[in-house]
Amino acid sequence: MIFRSDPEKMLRRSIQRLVKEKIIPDARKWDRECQFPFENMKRFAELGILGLRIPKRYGGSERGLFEAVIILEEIGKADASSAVNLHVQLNASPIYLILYGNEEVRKRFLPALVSGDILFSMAQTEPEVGSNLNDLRTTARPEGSHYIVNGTKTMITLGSVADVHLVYLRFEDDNSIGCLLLERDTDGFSVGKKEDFMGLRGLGTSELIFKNCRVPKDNVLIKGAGSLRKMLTLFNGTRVGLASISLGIAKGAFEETLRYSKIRTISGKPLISLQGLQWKLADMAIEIEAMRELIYKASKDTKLDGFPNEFISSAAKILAAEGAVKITNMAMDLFGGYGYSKEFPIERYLREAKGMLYVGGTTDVLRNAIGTYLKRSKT
Amino acid sequence: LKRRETYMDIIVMIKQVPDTTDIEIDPKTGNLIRSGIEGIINPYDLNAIEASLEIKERIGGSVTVISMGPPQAIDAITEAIGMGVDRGILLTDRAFAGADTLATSFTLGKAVEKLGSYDLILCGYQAIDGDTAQVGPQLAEYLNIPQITSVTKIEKVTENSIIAIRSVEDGYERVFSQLPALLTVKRELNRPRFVRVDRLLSACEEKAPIDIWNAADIGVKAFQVGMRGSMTEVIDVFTPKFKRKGKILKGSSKDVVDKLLSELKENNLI
Repeated sequence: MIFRSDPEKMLRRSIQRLVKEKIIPDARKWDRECQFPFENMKRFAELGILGLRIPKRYGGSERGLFEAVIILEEIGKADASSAVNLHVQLNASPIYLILYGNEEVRKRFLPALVSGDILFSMAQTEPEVGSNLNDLRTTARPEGSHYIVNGTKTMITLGSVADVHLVYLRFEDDNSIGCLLLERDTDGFSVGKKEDFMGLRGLGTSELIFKNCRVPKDNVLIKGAGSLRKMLTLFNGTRVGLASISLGIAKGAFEETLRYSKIRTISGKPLISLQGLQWKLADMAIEIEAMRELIYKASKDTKLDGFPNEFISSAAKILAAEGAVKITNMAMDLFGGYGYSKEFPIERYLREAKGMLYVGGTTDVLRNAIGTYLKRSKT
Repeated sequence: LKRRETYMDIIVMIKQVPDTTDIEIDPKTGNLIRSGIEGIINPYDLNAIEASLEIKERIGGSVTVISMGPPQAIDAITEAIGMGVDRGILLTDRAFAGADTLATSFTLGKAVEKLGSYDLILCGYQAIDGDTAQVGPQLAEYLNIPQITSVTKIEKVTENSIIAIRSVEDGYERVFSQLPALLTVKRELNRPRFVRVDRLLSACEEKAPIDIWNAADIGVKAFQVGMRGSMTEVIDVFTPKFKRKGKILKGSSKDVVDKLLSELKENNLI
């Protein structure tokens, strides 16, 4: 007789225990002090979480986007910053390296990520052009076996703490948009102004400045014909990862609200027995269920060489990011003054939910992606 | 039973119990509401697992967990493997249901005999649902090996012996034993580690090192195990009802205060 445990349930429960003991107790402090939670990343390494999606030959466990989604959702319920920081390591830069890096570079960076010795950032946004890849001003000029990188990036998650930056830029030799890996100790590289965000305050977000940085050509990941398509396909995966964090925020706020609505009484009746408030709670639950279904479906959709397509990934990100704002807003209404107080987590959930609207592409940009997809599709 | 020389074979007995942090009592019947309650590894057993892994890391060896329970108790074994245990055995059979501590320790003993060699058996001090603290000692008796109960510290382990500190009512005892032996451990012993995600997910796969044994596999008959093999039976589970003996004093304020003071004095409360 053979039967086994359900991996989703086991994974969720083990992360819940970790979150309860190691993330919830400090989440408020990290937020208040604008502190990057390094201790989390170390623990994620020790527990095999940083290696989740890394191939086994580099020490990882080679799991998919779905497992990452479960983990990020559970961490997002307690501290969205911790989840976003982890998301970058799980679903963003290292995936580029796995797919497009040369073997030497993979061997150098991937095992180091699995063991938590290095952290990645993904540097796309620029001060004047935002996240528009076609307009990037950061450049790479060839010089012998190196590229000389110049430019400035802004609002880079993990910018002030990452050891390796995945930098989007324009290659001057073929005028293509692509990306390369730039290490923190490269001459001419410096960390600029650190952001003092309203929420998501534990991301170590900062400006990055490149002044004649010499980067070995081996560090180039994507360049030349078809590079834009490659990068856009990778975004489909990162959108789903970010959506799962919004789902976590929404679920966290909802669970707090549901608990509160059963304890708090008005005229001797708990809030939840009042029909007007029941309708609000019902709307929150409906929205969360829809978000969850779409995100899980997207995370299991691997039609595009292992990635979900641009429609379902953008739809999941929009629904989750906007849904989380709605739900945390309603949560605050149900909590009333207590929700507005920093003594309760609701105000932080709301600030985090707002931030997730802008991380990894605004919902307007994502709607454009869906528009392009619809224009192309057969009716 | 033959033991190898430079290698420690450790068996840990674990039980899946309801997560009592979630438990609610039905106010009408006074019974536990068990529906929707998650099963967890008995907290004391987590300390036993942690101890086994620390010994293994220090002197080498392998750790096997054994659990008796319904099919869903496989989750306890999966989690133990996630923590670092090498192998798990789930003893599950309708015939095992309703076992008291004697039938349980007999069943576990039979599974240990089927496994063959071992150096050390670790158990939690007690399970948080039954609170008997009997299964460990009974298993040691069945296997006819020495036992050290209520262990709060493992001082030294060698291939052939162990020195452990056990808590007693008014202090501690330092106990030496030859191996093989059985220990029951307390929460103070250590801090159980978290599950490693990669190990946990592998433990959910079909190729995971988990065996599922029924009564026939361990060579027992239905009348020897479960409710039929038990000497005792739990007739009822209930929560005690507390009733306050209220007393209302009547009369003018002065009379009431006088009566109150004299009652308090009578009962030696002031």
